[in-house]
Amino acid sequence: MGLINGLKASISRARDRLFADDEQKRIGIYGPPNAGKTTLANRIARDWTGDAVGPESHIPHETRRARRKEDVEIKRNGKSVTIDIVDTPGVTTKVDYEEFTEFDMEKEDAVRRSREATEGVAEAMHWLREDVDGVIYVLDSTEDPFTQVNTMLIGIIESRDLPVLIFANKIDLDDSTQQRIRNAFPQHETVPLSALEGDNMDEVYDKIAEYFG
Amino acid sequence: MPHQCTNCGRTFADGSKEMLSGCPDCGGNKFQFDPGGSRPAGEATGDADERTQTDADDTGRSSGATTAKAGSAATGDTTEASDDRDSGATGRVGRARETVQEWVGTDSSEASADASATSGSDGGRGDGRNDAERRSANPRSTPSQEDSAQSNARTDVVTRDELPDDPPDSADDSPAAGEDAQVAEVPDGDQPDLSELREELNNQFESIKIVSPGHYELNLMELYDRDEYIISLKEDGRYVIEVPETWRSDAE
Repeated sequence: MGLINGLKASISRARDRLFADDEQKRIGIYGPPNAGKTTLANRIARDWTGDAVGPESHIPHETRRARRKEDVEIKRNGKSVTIDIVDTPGVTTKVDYEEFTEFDMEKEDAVRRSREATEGVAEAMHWLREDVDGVIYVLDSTEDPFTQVNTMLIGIIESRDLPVLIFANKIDLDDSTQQRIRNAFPQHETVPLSALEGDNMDEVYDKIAEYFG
Repeated sequence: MPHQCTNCGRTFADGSKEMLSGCPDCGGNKFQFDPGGSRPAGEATGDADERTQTDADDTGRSSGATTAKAGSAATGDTTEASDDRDSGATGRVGRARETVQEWVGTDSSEASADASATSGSDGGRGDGRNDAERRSANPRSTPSQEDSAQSNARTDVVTRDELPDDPPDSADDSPAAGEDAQVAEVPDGDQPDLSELREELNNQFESIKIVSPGHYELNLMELYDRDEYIISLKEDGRYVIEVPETWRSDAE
């Protein structure tokens, strides 16, 4: 009986999700650590709801738990698009507490932070599998986009046929080169922006409405 | 005539045991070493060093002043030594002492240079310098063994002393040199294996590998593929996982 009940529940969830597709989508903000994911999430949430999603920091792995902001209504061209934003922890293949001690953090705190960051990566990967309907992939445009993590995550997203936008963040910095990101992922739309300065946010919202509306 | 009593001038063959308890003629216990007088043409360097050692221990039994004299005789030119013999022991000893004091003075500051010169067949001068150097570094090393295994014991010592002189040539053959060489080589030799093993483990480990406290490696594909997901890591390496809803439904 347990097996049948489980099957029923599973079918029920699949049906719910099918109908939910007509409603608001859950958009995961993904990317490597320190790409500006939380800054972007806060920018979007403040612009449309007045609230922030979470604290921002220049120290990697500040976001160690996925944070969700629901019912973000974005109005574009007379239409409105409502999405849930999920700010996820930065995804990486290695976490070492010593990268935190460089920021004058005590070893004990750094070790705890690294453990929480690792849990955060696990959670982010779990969300990617289960709980997002589209992805905003944020990259620091001053960094080399050709990394194992970026390639792997974009590959997973593509394998799920999820709609994805690539955001080339931090264009306000001098050594920003968004073309490098376009070259790395030519199969996807790349949108330049500065989440911190609010540069090019109009195009950002246009693309969000277009892709996830 | 490798050894000569500095008192009466009696000579002894290399390895002779007569002189071990003093000169049989005069009872003197001070001898000088004259490698040039006994060296046959084309004699191997190892033999020369062995003689040097013999002389070192012979003189090591006697006083420090004797040591200086013997060393000086060895370092002196052959012609000088023969002149000394002609002019008598007293004058020879006096001059030899001065010569050796000079040698010892320079040896202390040129130890490494002398060590590298030892392997060369530079005649009595080079042997003598090495001789004096050894004595100053290791005086009276084995006085009680001299009566028995004199040559063999010294041969071992010479081998060790020689090893640093030509490590590139003998590193693979000599066990003593091999110890140092292996320490340096083992990590190099194992590096490829370790990296291969590490890569293999990385491919094998599930989801999260705890390298050390605060140091983690993550297998993103495994994290993505697995049904349950890790909620928290424990200090002892255990995971707390969230059981998928379907499993919970089964249980209920």
